[in-house]
Amino acid sequence: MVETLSSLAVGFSVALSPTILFYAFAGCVVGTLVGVLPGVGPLAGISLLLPATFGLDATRAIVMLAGIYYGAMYGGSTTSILMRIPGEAASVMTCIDGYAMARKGRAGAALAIAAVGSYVAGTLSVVALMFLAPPLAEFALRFGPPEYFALLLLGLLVLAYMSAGSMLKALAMAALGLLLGMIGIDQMTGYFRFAYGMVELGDGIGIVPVAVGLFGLAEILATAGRPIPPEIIKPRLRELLPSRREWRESAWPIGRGTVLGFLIGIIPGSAHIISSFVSYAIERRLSARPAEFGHGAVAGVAGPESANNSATSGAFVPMLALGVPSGPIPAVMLAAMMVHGVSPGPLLIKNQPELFWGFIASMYVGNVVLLILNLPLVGLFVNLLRVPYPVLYPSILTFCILGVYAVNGSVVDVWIMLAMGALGYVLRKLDFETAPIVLGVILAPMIEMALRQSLAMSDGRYSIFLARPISATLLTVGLVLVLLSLKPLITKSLDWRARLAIAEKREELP
Amino acid sequence: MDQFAPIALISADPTILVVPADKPWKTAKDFIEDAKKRPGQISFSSSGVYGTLHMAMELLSHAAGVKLRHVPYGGAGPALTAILGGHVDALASGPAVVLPHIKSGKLRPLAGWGDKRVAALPEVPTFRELGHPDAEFYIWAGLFAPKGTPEPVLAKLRDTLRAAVAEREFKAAMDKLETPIAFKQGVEFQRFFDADAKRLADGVRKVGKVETK
Repeated sequence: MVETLSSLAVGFSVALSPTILFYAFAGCVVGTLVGVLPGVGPLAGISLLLPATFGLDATRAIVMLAGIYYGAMYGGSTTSILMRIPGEAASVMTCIDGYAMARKGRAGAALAIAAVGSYVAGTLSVVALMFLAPPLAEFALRFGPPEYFALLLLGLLVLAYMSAGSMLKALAMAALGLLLGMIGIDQMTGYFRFAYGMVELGDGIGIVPVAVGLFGLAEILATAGRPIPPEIIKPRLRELLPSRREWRESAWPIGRGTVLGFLIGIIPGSAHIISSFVSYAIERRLSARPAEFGHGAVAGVAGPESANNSATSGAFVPMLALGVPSGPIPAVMLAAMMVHGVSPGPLLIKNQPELFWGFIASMYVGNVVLLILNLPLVGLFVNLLRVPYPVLYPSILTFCILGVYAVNGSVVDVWIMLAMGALGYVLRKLDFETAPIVLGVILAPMIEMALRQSLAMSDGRYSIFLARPISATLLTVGLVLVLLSLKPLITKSLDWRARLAIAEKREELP
Repeated sequence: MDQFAPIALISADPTILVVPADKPWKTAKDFIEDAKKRPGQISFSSSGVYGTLHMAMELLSHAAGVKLRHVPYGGAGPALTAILGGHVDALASGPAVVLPHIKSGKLRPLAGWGDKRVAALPEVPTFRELGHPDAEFYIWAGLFAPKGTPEPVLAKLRDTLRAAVAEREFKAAMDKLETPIAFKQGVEFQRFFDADAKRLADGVRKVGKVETK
């Protein structure tokens, strides 16, 4: 403990030196930009800037790249809340309630809660990273394909909590998403599936074009399709800050999101995306007023936004403690360390204390920088909503197309986004929710890969899922959740979903 | 492949066979003998189907006449994570990737796919020494120009590259990555390239036959 604190003091002396501070700041600014731009995610941002760090020393390079990563989680919420366009995959959930809040004139509050939640989660999870990295990293490695599969199945159950109305419609949408997620090269055999001869579909349907199309474009089309354009919500200054009630309602979700995000973030794989989904589901399940979700529940912003930030720190645990990449982003950062002559591995903390502790301390500093950077920007961003729709929407459309094209330089991605926009519009008109499609597209390839890897490990025996303690536990939890949701069928009482559907029916009647 | 005009080979790292340190195999011979006794039971992770790490293992399987169980992952990083987590029994990967984990005692190197031993692992034999000369595989990086580039331009590119590779800074950077420079030009590079292409084409054909069965 004392040793940790004295090491941390050394770390701060590194982190607060003007040059390191500058690179942390630069990373945070770039990260925020990367997060705000739809399409360009943290992976693209880090990969693009990697060559620019070759001239720096290792600590500076790592501090800057990490800044981009967690900075993107702050920025990602902005467009989700203001325009229903996820800046990157982990902020898909924020689109639902964040945007609903903005429509009610609470955009400022949503942005502020997202920033503060991200700050709390970012800071607390660094504390956890500092004290728990070595033991947790060993645990994380025990997550092989069977465990991952069980976790993803739990993620699929989350679908049940994502829609307000008909469960049947939600499941139909999820199935559509899972089907879309099957497109692309079969990772086990190398066959092209459902690609119809289009080489570009080999990598599958990207999450970003689907999410931007279904959420952002569909919203724009729906607004344009109304006979009378909706009133412009002019934010007033005193409405920028969250009310006392909103603070109170987001305190627990931020706390839970932090813990959850960190734990899920540690697990190898692209787990940080799932963390925001799971957090949303948990908040809805625990909420006293689950009916508010989807209509601007502040907990639906606070939880997922904290979780995705906390997950970034979690992802650094296996990377720093064991030199093992827990996902594509830490993998790029490990490559960066190797370029700088730092050999990542279990001996990193011992051999390179300055780098490790400087890195940790810079994350504390970086989170403060991001909070200072983002809170004043709330006022600026909110003013975007003052722009009249005929000017605002075409510009957003241009940004979406540019952003989606820029990621892979692929016109096919742009077409996918446009097709998804049209599909999203039709589905909205028919009262289908589109969030389960996005979740399906994200989960399908991951679940399939994990399932088939597990079966390859066990030579085709399904017992592998029950023979391994972690996966067996996770599957049991899932089973209990399913049984709980069946309870109303047996006791014939209405659960909140049924009550909500009835309430909504009544509202629709004149 | 005839759409390219070779300029030069810069590096060629043989893959190294590693197993978790708690596994019983102490040498490549143990590993191969055990694999012969239990066909399809010993698993290995790879960077993806037909990826570099998969092909290296396939070449070994055919050279040694064994059958291993393939668990593909989405990249060399996840493949490394899988073996460190004990979810698979073996992995073939570049020396720079596995060295830190060999040093920390988590992984044990058994043999390499090179025509000679890796400088950083002088005690690790090659499969060629162990009597499996067909198990030869490199993760290599070279530069090419499009076919039809005029000869003076190619000559200029070759000269510039030779000078660049000889720079002290470049050497230092590659040393940090633990990637030895293996500079080859002209006929030498062409020969290396042809041999590599032939090995790989044979390997892919053999895998294809196995999987369509």
